[in-house]
Amino acid sequence: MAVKEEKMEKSEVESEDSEEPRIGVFCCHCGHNIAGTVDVAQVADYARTLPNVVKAEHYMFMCSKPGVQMLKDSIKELGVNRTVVASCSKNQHGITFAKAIAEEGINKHRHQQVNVREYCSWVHKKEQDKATAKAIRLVEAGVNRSRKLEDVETRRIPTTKAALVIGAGIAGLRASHDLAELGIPVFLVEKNSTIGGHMTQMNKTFPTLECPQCSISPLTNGVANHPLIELYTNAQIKAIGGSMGNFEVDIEIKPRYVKDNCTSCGDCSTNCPVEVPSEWDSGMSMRNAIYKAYPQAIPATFVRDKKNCIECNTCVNICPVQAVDFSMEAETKTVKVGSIVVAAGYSEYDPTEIEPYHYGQEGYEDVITQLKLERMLSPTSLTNSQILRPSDGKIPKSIVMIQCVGSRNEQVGNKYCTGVCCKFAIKNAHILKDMYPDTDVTICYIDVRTPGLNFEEMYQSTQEIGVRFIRGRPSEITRNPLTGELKVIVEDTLTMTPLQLDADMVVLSAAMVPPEGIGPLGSKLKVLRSKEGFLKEFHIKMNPTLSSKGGIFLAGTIQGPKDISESVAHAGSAAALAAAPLVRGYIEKEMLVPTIDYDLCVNCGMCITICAPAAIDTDEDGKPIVNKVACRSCGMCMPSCPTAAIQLINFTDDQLYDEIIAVSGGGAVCE
Amino acid sequence: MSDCETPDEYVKERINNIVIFMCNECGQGSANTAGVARMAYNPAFRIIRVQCTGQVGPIQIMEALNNGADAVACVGCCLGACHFFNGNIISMHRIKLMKKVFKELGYSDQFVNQYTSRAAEGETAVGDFENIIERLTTAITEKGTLKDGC
Repeated sequence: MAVKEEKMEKSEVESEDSEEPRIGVFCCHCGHNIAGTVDVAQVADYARTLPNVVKAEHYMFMCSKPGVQMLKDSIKELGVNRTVVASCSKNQHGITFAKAIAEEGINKHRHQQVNVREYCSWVHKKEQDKATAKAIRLVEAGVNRSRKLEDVETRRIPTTKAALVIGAGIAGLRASHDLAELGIPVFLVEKNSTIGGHMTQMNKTFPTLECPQCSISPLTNGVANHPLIELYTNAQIKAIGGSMGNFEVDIEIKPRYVKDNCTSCGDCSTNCPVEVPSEWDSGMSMRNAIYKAYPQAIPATFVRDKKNCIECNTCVNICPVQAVDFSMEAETKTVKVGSIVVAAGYSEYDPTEIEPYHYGQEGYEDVITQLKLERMLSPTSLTNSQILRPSDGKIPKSIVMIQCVGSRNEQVGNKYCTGVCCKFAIKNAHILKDMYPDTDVTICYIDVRTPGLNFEEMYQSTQEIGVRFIRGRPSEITRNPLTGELKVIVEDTLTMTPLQLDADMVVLSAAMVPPEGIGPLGSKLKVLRSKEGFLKEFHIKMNPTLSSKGGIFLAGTIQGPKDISESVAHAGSAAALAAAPLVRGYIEKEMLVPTIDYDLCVNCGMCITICAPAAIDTDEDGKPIVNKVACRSCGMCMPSCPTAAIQLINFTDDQLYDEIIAVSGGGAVCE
Repeated sequence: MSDCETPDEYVKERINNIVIFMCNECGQGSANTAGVARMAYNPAFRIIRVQCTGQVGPIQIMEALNNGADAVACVGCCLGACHFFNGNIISMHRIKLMKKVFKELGYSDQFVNQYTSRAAEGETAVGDFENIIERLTTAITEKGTLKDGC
């Protein structure tokens, strides 16, 4: 391989000065497909008159074996070093001819494919003269372009066989496990003290009403005990360097203040005098300053919350194994990885922004979010799975759920539909009605969106058991200042009736929004974000798991709102894509990259700004350098350069000019 | 200024060279699909393959017009679906700026345009082409050609 590379570099240098272009032009009849419209012989005759053309032929089927042999013979006999074939599209047989000349020892990028079938003969059947004239122009353009074509080498870049997964929610866990099962060492970084993410907070999963804790625990245990997965909790990304295949990542690990020999007995927590609302429980219960988020938490080691700790040292003294250690310090670890999977998840939208709903205000304690309701229903809740009003602890007689809180709402800036709120609201309404048949459950919706297998059935069965659906977005939640009763003001848009619904409890179906802290993470990763704030995928249909930068993949809700099944599927895809170059051991890349003429470069930095995959860096002197591995060959840097110093190989201004003059000549209107 | 009185049909007949910069992905794809489906269009359209419409700068567009092209257009992927990242949007902004320059110079702004197409649908490319002809014809009959300078 090394020898070949050397040879290629050598030829690249030589090609410009020493080698005279010798071009072979071949026009294909493609049966009657081309020859039926275009006078192929005339095109070949014209091509023969062009400078540097040593051979111009026409043949029935260029893609057939004799046709390809013609190409090879011309190289052997006439010393042709650039070929132009006027036939079908580049994607169809351009590859065939490029391969053929490569077999004869000529770089495949010296082949120029001219598409006279799709772009000419097939679409101009009725205007044969004009079609022939156009074909001549196209072939001349091809010849002009091929005259200055340069060799492009294909380089193998070895990759680091390890992966980094950011976020240990369901998507991150799935991706880590899949990667590790492929034999790739994984570094899993989680911001919180436990893994499992939002899924562990749920009470039941739709549509089968399964226990999410039971579904996820084989995965959390599997990840925690996997020999190839190194888990960092309480950690975050500090810096990321390098590019596709070879990243260098600094991970900052915050101290737990409890050593790994913790037996998880809980003596420290029960004796801790400090109590603060539990984040994991969405504020529905209290935790101590030294705590474990929930009973099944992994890692099971307790963690001390330094911010709220009063340093009474009770836990230090009471611990039977002396695991509590206040002197622990944050450490930074540098790891080398080949691929990065971002599975940072989502945050629940904070409805305090929507003033008429009074969420979080005094007197409106009974206005809660769906996540809080899930926590109340869950088996480990403070209310013992009962639904009790947070204000007075009574069982509510009427519950109103409000859909689309923070989604489909341009006033708060979120135009998108989260897509899962209808499903979980219907699920929770069903559970509530089952538990309390006397309680009125009402869902105020704009549109009920329950696509997919089993969801429509769930919707129907929920309607059948007596959950009331009202089409309309509530305008306000009002409170009687004397009695403290809540009323939801809504217009039923189907019957055009304004309604005032009595509500002992109001549940807001809050949207999924990008997770907190995504801004700094996004800028460290140098990936682009959609206008909603989620990380943008490479292509919405063809590659929804790759980010804007090669080697960085997206898994789960970081790319956009998703339910659990979609997140898992997305994460699996991300893992497979991230694993491919690591399992193979190298990335093969055609070096179709820009070169910078430093004599012309004025260090303005425009190319650095415009480069979407962030493939242009600066060196110590502030001069731009092209990262050949990260470059995607789009050529966007070219027009941004004020001095034309940056030029994409084989698409340079010079080469495009040659093609343009051949193509654009002869406009009658402007002549 | 003689062209200013020309009827539409006469101008349409004479339009015979429009340079299209098509991106390697959706642009080329849609033109290929149109070809496979034998969707006839005006032979005036000549396609130049570029990596991305974001690669086409004012230099290329002006060179083409200077060499005698009747009009220039860039055809890229649908907005938000650029295969590189946002080349089509950058190109769109660039062409908006160029249109302003044309207007300031006193020309019609229809000599340069940006379009999008979808690789799976040849109709999108052919529709773009028809639209180019239509806009150009109107522009020429109303304001004259680049050569006329009106």
